[in-house]
Amino acid sequence: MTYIIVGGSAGLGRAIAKKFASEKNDLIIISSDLRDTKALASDLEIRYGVNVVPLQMSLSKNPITFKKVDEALENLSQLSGLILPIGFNHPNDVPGIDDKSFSELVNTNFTSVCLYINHFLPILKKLPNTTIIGFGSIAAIRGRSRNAVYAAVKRALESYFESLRHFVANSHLTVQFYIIGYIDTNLSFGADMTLFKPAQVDRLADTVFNNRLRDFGTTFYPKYWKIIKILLPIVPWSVFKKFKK
Amino acid sequence: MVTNLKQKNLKIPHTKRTKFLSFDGSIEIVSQHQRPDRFRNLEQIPKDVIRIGRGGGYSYAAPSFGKNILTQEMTWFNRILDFNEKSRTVVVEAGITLRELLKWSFRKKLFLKIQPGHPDITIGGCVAANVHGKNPHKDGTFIDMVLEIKLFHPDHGLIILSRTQNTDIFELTCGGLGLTGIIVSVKLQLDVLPSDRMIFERTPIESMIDATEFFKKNLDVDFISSWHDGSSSKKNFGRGVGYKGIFAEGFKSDKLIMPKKMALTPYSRASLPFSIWNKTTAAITYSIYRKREITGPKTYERNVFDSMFPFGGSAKSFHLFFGKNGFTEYQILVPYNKVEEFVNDITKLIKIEKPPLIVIFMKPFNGNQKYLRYSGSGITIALDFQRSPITVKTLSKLDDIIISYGAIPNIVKGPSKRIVQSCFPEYHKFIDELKKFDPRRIYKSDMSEKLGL
Repeated sequence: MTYIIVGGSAGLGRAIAKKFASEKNDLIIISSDLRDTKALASDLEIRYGVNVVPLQMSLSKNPITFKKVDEALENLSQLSGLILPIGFNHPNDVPGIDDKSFSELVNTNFTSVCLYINHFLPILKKLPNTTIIGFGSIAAIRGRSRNAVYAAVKRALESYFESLRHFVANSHLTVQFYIIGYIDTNLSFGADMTLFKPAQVDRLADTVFNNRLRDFGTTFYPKYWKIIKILLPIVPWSVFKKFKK
Repeated sequence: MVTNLKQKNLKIPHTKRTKFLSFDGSIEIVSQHQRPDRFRNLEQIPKDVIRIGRGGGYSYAAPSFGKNILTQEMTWFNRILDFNEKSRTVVVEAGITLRELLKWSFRKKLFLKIQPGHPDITIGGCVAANVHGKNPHKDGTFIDMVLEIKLFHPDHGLIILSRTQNTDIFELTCGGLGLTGIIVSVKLQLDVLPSDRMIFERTPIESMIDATEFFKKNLDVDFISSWHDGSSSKKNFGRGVGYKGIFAEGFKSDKLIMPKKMALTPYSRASLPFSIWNKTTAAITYSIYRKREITGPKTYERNVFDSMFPFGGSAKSFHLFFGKNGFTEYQILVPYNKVEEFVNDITKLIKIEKPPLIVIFMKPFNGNQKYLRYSGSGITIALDFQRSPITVKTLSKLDDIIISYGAIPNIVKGPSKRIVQSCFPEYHKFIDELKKFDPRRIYKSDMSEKLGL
């Protein structure tokens, strides 16, 4: 079985790639820097004896071409899923951000993800026991001044996954969307984690693998973010506007 | 050049302030900490930021951090990049630990024949400290297994170092304390692992001089070392037990047996608020321990993981018992022809000064010494003291003895600038060559600053 992992060279993507390879699945790993992707591909091939194709692709600009991915798939076992642990944030992501950075944030976190889904949807719908897994962010629960575009497009992505799940209901294709809290990757390294201890990325990867064919729709990781999702929107504006950090 | 002071205010993404602690508990510094997980992270740091690479962080002293120095912890660069079954060579990223590498290589019945005692030390750390293994007389030091290094330096980019390419920088980097740049990956020579077990034999030893005779008779075994009572009493000082080990034949199990509990970190090592070790407890403990060792079966078998990594199991309590205040280890390589006189002199010193010397370890060595590498022919003697004012006074006198015998100290254990400058014939050459390669000297650490490197 082959899985395509978009954004698979570091952080959550790397942990997912490791877990799926350790379970003897072939992989296509896509990231923007081939040096990282190649290193990971070699590591997984040597450790687990699976086939891993590393590909370099910038998702911040559209349109994207799938020729290399399609060619790689021809030489691997049957496609079983598309996993999209891609996320890109920007230190100056506040309303009024420059156009270039705005487009990069939208393209990387939303448009390219949707284009990937659209490209592989027909084939995944036809095959048995396939899955598409997307990842959102707790930043999208309620918009704040920081991560403005990122949060907006992650909320849009959640909606697209809801539509997708509805579209493929009663087929063999499972659609899942994880809304992720803080996890111990390089992105959270150095972040203020006074209130929330980052979850272990390897545990999340295990969860993603073990539940890859469960039709639960959208879920939170760690689970306690579900409670915050309920509570945060009802925090009075007079209080919420003070949450600047 | 950005000075160290200005770096305090530098805002580098995905970095934090970390309280670093040396394994011996003597140095504690808060400084900026980055844990790169992609090449771009290495390149994104402004070129003039003073920095230093870090592996597992198990050095007794502080070669991987320093005041207002950015520490780049490489533990996420831990991938296996290439493996050639025929030549038994492997290319690994510098952040892979000995534990991870053995876990993988065990399945191929291969191993690194030179490895230090802590399983969570990284390959990059082994190169930077040019560590030694279980029988440095037979196996040499870590440089002997290194075929190629990929080094990153912001002024030079990624460069390949080997015995045929950038040889001078290769020589500077092996045992170079990370001062030439970030070691990104290393090509290593593996050896056939003969068994999943080692067979050890204990021999009672009456003195440190007797240990040298014990070593001479067993230079070709796979494991050799001795420990000696450090208490200053006439009766017990220097008495100990010698151990020699050879690989058993064949494999009993295809699974590598590893301890369930984590090995000590510098932080967990310092978890006891007080020291259990002192002159009295050490004398009693080692007297009882020796008795138990020499009255027990002469030979015994241990699995390969425990044989290679005492820090992962049996040596845990030893270091833990030093408590928060920590310990001081002096490791000295004494030329063979001067061992007897040297031992007599330090015996006299210990008996006069009566420092809280807890235990002494010895091993035979062989090899060529260059730059600041802990290598050469002789006997290595490690003296583990409880930290105290008497220890400091004794070490100052010990330095004089070491210098007078032309012995060399192991730099990663934290000796003073005076002794390093006096004992290493190529101390100044190392500095000059380093400056030639990196005139701005952007890789620095607390240790390099203290040693004037």
